Amino acid sequence: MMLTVFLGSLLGSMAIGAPVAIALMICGVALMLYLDMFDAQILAQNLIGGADNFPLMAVPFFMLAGELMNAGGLSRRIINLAVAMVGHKRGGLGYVTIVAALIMASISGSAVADTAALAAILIPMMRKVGYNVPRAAGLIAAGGIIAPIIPPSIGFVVFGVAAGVSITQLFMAGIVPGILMAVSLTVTWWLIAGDEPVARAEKASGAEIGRALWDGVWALGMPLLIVGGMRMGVFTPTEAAVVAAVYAGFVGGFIYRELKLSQMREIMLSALKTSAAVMFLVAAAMVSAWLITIADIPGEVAQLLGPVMDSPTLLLLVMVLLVLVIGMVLDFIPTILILTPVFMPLVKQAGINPVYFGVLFIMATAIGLLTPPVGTVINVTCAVSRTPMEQVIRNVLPFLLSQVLVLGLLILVPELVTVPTNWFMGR
Amino acid sequence: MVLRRWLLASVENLLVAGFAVMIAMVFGNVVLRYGFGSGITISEEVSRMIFVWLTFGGAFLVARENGHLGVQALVNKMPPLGRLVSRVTVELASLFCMGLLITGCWAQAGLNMANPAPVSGIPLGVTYLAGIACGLGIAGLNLQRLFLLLTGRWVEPEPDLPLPAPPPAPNLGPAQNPDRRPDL
Amino acid sequence: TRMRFAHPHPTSDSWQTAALQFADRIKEDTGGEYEVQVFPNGALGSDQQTISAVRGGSIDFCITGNPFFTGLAPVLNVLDLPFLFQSRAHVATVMDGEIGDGMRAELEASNLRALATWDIGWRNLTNSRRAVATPDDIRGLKLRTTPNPAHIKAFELLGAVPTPMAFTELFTALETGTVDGQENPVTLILNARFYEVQRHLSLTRHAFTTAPFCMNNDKFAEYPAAMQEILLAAGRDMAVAQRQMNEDAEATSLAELKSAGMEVVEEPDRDAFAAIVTEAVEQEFVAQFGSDLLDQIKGAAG
Ligand code: NA
Ligand code: NA
Repeated sequence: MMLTVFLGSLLGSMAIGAPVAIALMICGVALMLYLDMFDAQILAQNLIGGADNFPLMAVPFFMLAGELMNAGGLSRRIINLAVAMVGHKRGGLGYVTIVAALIMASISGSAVADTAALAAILIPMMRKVGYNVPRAAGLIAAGGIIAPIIPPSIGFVVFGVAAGVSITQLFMAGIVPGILMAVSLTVTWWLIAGDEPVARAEKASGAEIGRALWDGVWALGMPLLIVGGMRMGVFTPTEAAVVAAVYAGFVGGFIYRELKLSQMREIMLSALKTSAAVMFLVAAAMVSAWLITIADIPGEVAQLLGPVMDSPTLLLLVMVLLVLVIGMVLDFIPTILILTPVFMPLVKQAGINPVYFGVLFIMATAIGLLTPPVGTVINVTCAVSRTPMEQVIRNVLPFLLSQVLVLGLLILVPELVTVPTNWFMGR
Repeated sequence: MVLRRWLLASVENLLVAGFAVMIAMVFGNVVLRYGFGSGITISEEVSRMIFVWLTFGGAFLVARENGHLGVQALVNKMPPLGRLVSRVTVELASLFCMGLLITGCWAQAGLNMANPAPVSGIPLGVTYLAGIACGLGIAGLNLQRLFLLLTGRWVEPEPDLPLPAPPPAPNLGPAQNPDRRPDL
Repeated sequence: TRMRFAHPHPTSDSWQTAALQFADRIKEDTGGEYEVQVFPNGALGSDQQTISAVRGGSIDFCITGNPFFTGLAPVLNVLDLPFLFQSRAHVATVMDGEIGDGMRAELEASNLRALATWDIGWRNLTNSRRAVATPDDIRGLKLRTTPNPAHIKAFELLGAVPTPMAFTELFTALETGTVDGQENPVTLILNARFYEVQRHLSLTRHAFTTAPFCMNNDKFAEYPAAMQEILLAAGRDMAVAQRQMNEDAEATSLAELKSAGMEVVEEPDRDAFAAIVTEAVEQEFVAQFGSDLLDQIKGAAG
């Protein structure tokens, strides 16, 4: 019954177009009324308390780092380097996309920002030399969702805070699965696009590759700085985020000299607004999460799932499928925020490693960025490539399926996540 | 009009300045810890308070631009009357939630203005003031939209994509096939 | 009627056991009229948030460490002074008696009724670098402390680098070496699995942390005298029981930490630590609040 009130109020208010943050508050109000504990202070306290959180400060810092990278020329140099390395291969710009997506993922924490940067640079290049643009857009979209899996990741930060799981461990756990996603995209591109009848770039000479590498070395230093710094204990994830922002600003402003002081206000304001939109959602989700706990909705769900609860693999499968379905209609951060308080008690009860679960969960949620009707990454690629939505969706499908396969593989072989995590954490 | 633009710019400048202070404090703490074996003990507390203000101040700016994430697909398919009713209901519901935010924060601010944070001594109630400010701001927007909706002057906003400024594309030499259309 | 009880500790902690026993006791004494639902693990919010929720009335009971209450009643800082308590018997004499009543009454101005004072326990030092037996061994260690001014000051005097940090970030910070060590009771060191990432434990017992067990004062005042007495008696009895549970848990926790591979310095030179920090930190307190309360507490040592 509680579950009905929860879902009814949440989905009902979203259906009539309420912003998700407001829908979450309305859902909280509905639960308060149902539990006969209506109190404005519950809403106020959880909203403010939700934002009053040091680890979540990583969100604005990573957003800022991403904006500074794009404005300061770091992103462009990474793509240049990828072009020099693999641009001459058959279907080369596709591989460029994947390599660039992987490197960008290790620098930026947001799929949407990554995809926008990749699409803005690569689509015109691919169109110019005659690639099938909708197919290229599909690949870029699928490459963009590697960003929240490879550290740094705003998705992991939000999940880590909501679930009480170590963000550093989540970051380290995402590295191998993110690389696997890139590998699966490479194989898929090789299978379906190896015969693109397009002119190829000339093979770059050793000197040219060297120059691109030298030019991009400052940008490439960023993932080493972030992951290395956290791994060596120089800083916490939040501090890593601020270091990344300062580093991107420094390289863009003083090394590449593409960032002007006069741009800073706009860039900071833009990062601030993007992160405030995310944080307002996070705060609103704390209201409903508090009442989910009081109403013991996870208990109700556990009863519904009954026999599945005995098998961790089956439970994971059910949860991942649920995320994929919900991810169709709900955006990335809301999916994480709404499902985490419902799932985490089940995960603990079933004895599933929460870090491992987090990786599967975020990966499934990220795949939702590619599925209609609400797929933000798809929207971005459509807008930048000026391609109709239907075409991009049709063309993203093979790449999306390959990523779902990776997800299935990780469910069947948890060691693919847990063993490297322990290795990265030095255990 | 001029006053309104000036006010908006002031809010934006204040928030950007707060962001800069927050960066300086958290970054400064890392530098001090490694460079000088010390730390800014108030950094954690004060940066968190600024963060709360940035979140709720920023949430108001985003609301001004209709930028909060929502699902419009169903509403857009509704007939005009259904759409109007939905829009009005949403604004009323939001107004109600903001009312709760304001009264709840008012009560909590009152309880915590005499509750200083351990290191900085700044009252913990300061964070609740951010909720009041944001609640008042968004409630004002709700009232404004209700007025426009009910007087038939509402203009549906263009969906705004969260696009960061695209970086300039590298030059690959002359176009080989500039007019080629995507395969349809 | 349903009442809600929030606390930040895990279910394996004595607080959970005591809270559940408190719930049973209330149910029994009120003939089933009142039912207390316990929410462990900080499920209903951070320490400050639950205190604030009790003050505002949306949660009925909360318990958390004394340092979180000192903003509301600064005189409570006395309890966090280093090397103040000599033994658990000393703690019991002070907190279960009139001195404790006086300090609990300080919270009434903040609309909190402290039914009794439970405990968190003796704080001990762990770190990943070296065995700590003398003050010299602490010099240069990056230690996470609570934001309590007395604690920060004490570790500064010992030459450490006090690094305030949220408890939720602490495990990973210890694991990756962002900080070298931390200080907490052995029960918490075990529950939070710090032994996985910390090699050295030193039983410094540099402070004892108490925990006021509170409810909303207005709500308390509205209850009939009989109900008030039920609540007070249950709170008080559970304080005695919980203190014993914690003392037992400290012994078994220490044994478990040893078998998990921690190297323990059982008798560090506490007098040497005390000589460096006690007077300096006490002076700051006395300058602000006078020495009456401090002398009373010291005088209660057996
Ligand atoms: Na990333
Ligand atoms: Na979707």
